[in-house]
Amino acid sequence: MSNPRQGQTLFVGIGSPHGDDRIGWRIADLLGTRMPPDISIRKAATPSDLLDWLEGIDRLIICDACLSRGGTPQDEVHLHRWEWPTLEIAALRSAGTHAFGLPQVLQLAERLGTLPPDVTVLGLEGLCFDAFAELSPEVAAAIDSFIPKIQAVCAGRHVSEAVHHA
Amino acid sequence: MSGPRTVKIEALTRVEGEGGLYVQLDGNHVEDVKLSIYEPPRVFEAFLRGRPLEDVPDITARICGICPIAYQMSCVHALEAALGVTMSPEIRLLRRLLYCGEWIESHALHMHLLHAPDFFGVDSGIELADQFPDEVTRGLRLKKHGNELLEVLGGRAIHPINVAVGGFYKAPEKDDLLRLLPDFDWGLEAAIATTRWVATFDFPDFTRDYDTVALQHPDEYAMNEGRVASTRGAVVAVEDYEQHYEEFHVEHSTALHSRRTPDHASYHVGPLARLNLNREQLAPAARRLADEVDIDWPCRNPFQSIIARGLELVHAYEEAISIIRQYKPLSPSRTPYDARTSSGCAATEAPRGLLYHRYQIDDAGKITFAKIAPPTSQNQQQIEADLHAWLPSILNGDDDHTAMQCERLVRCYDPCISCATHFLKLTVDRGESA
Repeated sequence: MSNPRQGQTLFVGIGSPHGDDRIGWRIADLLGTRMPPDISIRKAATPSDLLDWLEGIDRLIICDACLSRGGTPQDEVHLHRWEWPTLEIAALRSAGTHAFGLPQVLQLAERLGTLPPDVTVLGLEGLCFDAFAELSPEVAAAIDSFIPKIQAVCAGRHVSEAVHHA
Repeated sequence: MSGPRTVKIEALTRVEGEGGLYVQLDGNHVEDVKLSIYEPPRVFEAFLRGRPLEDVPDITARICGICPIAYQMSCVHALEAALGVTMSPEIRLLRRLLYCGEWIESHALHMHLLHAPDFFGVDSGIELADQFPDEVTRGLRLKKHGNELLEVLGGRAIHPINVAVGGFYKAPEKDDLLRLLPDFDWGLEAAIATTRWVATFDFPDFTRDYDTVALQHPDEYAMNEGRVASTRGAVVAVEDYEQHYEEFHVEHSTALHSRRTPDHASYHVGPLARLNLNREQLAPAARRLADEVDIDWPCRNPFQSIIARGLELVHAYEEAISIIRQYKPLSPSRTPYDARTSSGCAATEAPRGLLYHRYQIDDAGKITFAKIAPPTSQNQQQIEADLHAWLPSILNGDDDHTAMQCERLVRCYDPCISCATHFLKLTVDRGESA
């Protein structure tokens, strides 16, 4: 993992070794070999890790697994994109076991004046979060197809709000 | 208020993991208290069976994103006990340095973002940052130091991968450690200021006749080895731990509880226990600060555990600075061993308290049995007993007030439910006529 320098974009994949909660880490690994040097890539196990890495960062892109609230087909993998601040993220309850969830981390950084002005949150829907499970076959099959879109987000190009892969 | 009443906390906040609390009352009489951990059991012990012993440090590190080093330390020491590996003094010292990093990261996080808000009537570290931006910023900087040390020694801050049975896969470069020193010198002074700050908090007048249990070592503030000591006087070898402390299942929790044997009494592990037993072995600045803060030792007020964490934060900085200054690169970085059918156990001091591991290995070096007793599991029965004693004094408000006060007490333990499941919603049952 590369360390961020002044004025850089930081991409953070949040994850764990439990099934599709690996998504953030896997995306970070996949991006790691395909990104320009002005974009730093890091992996986090808890959202609070982010608080250590914000100095000198202009843009922050966070990728984490998320759970569908229904309404989308269960055999499709969906990528969601939010620009912070958004009530949709602020109202989220962390689904994981993290003491300090992503919305709280972003709010705290905002209060302390350390949050970059440009923050994007990418949520990729997971299907299975069993302990130590590998990615679900659906997510494993689809994850590569999201990389160009995530690269475009990192490059600051416009991407449609939500994309999915059957 | 008369008659039966039930108070429920459906999901505890500012704790690691998911659990709830159920309280059943008859008037002001506490009928029942249940700390219910409903996070799914993660069955790590079963998962380890059949795996090569070399995989254990990396797998157990993933039980928890907050305290991976604790799991790595307990498991490698237990496996080394089984294999008859004697580690070099240099490896032993480097492991203490690694543990200092985790204590700094975990204590700074809990003190500033999870526990301190309780003393100012605010719901979160975010609101606390409005009142105390400098203190919260300072706390985050301390937490970052801990993570940076883990990154240098552990290969990475998140689920470190450099800890090996026998030592380390790769010895850190001296320059990488020396680079940390200016920040750590600042951090020591900041940790002292933080401890003085938390010592001024308004603590509830609530003391308990605890049996506090922690490792004790004749030559040092115990982290990675020692005997299991108790303020009730018993000091036992780690090999005898299971004869004196036993796990048991309760229906309302997916995490095993622990109790002392044979009297089935609860006991208290964590920073307060360590300070009560080992205060004289703190590093000099932490030792002086322990005398300066307004506590009559041994401390039996769980709310003052935040001061205990502060003192350990200071100790961890002092010890880390000392070890870094004297560090010479290890060669070799690992002690070799031969796999053999054997068994071994070890206990180390996780930020939240004593963490016990025991393993059995076969001739091929595969794990045939694993037992892990995390500190939050051991504290569950004590937390319920504390709540039972605390509740009569906090029933004069509505259920929200009672629930909030209960959560305050639970957070004193910095419970790690993720670790224990192998934890909070509050339900107060005051019955129909509440």
